[in-house]
Amino acid sequence: MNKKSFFGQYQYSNSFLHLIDPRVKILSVFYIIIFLFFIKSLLGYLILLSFVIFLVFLSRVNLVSALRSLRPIFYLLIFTVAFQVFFTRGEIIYSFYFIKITREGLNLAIYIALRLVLLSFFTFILTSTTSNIELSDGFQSIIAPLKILHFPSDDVALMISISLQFVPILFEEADRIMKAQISRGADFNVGSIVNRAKSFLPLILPLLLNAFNRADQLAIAMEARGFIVGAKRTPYRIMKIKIADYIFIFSIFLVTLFSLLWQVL
Amino acid sequence: MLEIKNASVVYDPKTIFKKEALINVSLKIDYGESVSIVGKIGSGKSTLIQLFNGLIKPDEGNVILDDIDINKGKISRKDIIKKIGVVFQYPEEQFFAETVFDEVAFGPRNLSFSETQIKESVSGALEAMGFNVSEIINRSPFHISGGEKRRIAIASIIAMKPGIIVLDEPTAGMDYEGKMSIVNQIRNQAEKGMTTVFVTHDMEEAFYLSDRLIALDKGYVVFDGDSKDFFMDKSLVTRIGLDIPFTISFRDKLLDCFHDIPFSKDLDTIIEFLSIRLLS
Repeated sequence: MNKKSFFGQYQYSNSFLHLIDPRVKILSVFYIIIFLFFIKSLLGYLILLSFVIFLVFLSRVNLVSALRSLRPIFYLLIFTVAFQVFFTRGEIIYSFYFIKITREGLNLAIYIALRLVLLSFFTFILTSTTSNIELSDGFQSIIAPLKILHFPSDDVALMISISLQFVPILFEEADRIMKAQISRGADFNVGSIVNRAKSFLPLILPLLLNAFNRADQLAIAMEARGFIVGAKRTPYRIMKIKIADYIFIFSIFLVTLFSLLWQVL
Repeated sequence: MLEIKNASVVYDPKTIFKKEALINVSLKIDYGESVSIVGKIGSGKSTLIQLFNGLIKPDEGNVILDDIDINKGKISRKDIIKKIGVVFQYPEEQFFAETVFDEVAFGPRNLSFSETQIKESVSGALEAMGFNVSEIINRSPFHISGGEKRRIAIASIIAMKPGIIVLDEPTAGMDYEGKMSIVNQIRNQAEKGMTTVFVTHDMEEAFYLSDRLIALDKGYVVFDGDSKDFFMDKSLVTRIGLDIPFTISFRDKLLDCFHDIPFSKDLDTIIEFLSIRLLS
């Protein structure tokens, strides 16, 4: 049993965002991720940042866990910001020996940092307000029209669904194996990078072996229950777009339009 | 001595998944004791043993090992592991080495034993678990039977020479033969003076292996004392969802006819008594 929940883990609630159609949420996040690359003003980013904070409150998910979602990208964030600050040419605003900080570099660093933070927050909101089943159902429905092009959308959706369901199991298993190896004196955080990588072998190897075993057992169990690859399927849960979904789409559209208009005006 | 003082552990606090795994638990385990911790699934057994070696910290209370609070940073992780070895459920799933020797030597190596000490402790641990050392040592841990895997996993903890060994459901998912082999090896070790804490929901094993029994129910310690007294309190055993060992229920059924039938953990003793009485 895990004492802490991991990044983006679904948090059960009955909030407005939890009730939004998963297809709407998936497509909205895709739309916003693409949209982020078109914003070129600080205020535009700040509008989106306020919007995402509003969404975190609206979703009633734990605010601390939302901030914790930044942890995996922390080093990437530091590296990207440092790279932009020190290596972008332009008007020098501070220099110390060979270190030169430019206005353009500083601007770019802030933009990229905000972009990464927003990307992480929006993805966090999607995964913490949408269960694995809803995510896979939503994704299946989104790619369903590709059947016309003979794309095996049902099989791809099933693969995604199984992978998603395996994520918490793998996390729990990793936690269990890690505790078992720590109890045998393993230390995953000491020594050089090479030694650290080597120290993960007692964790990675059993984890992979167990995952392959599970996959094998699942395949056998599915075949035993009559699963046939490529057979025609009907959905068990029917999804319907509701008024709340239209409100959500409209608000996303409004906020993005507003943040884009700000830089034009 | 290992002591747990008023420990409470809560999983996922402030969420609807909140679960109080342990509530105000206090207990002491002395060196040389053989203790069984029993309780049905979800009673808090596995959480309790993770407190023993500091894998999780209690939300309230203390874990004291040889007069040192292990969660106050005065004792290193390796020093804790040297004193308390934990064998988790399905321990064979943690295997990664190419040979049995390397698998069992993993712990001693991490504890910086010398090469001579490693060879000696690996051989000793494998012998203690009933293996022919020269025959098993170079085999792959992945290509042996399920029972052998489990015994090797236990040997990998014994090889670290801990003062206390904690076994979490060591016979889970095993057939009768494999189960008895492990239970007998553990009993042998306990009789030789090794401190064993045996966590199980199998009452036959708990009764057979230990004189002292700690029962958990919904995170509370509901009994801590002589295993005989626990199983004599049938209402308590049933209330917390556990079974009476066959040896006890069998003896109880015979009590109406044979009032002087001895109390024994061993079924053979009862059968021997019966055969003498019936023949006479």
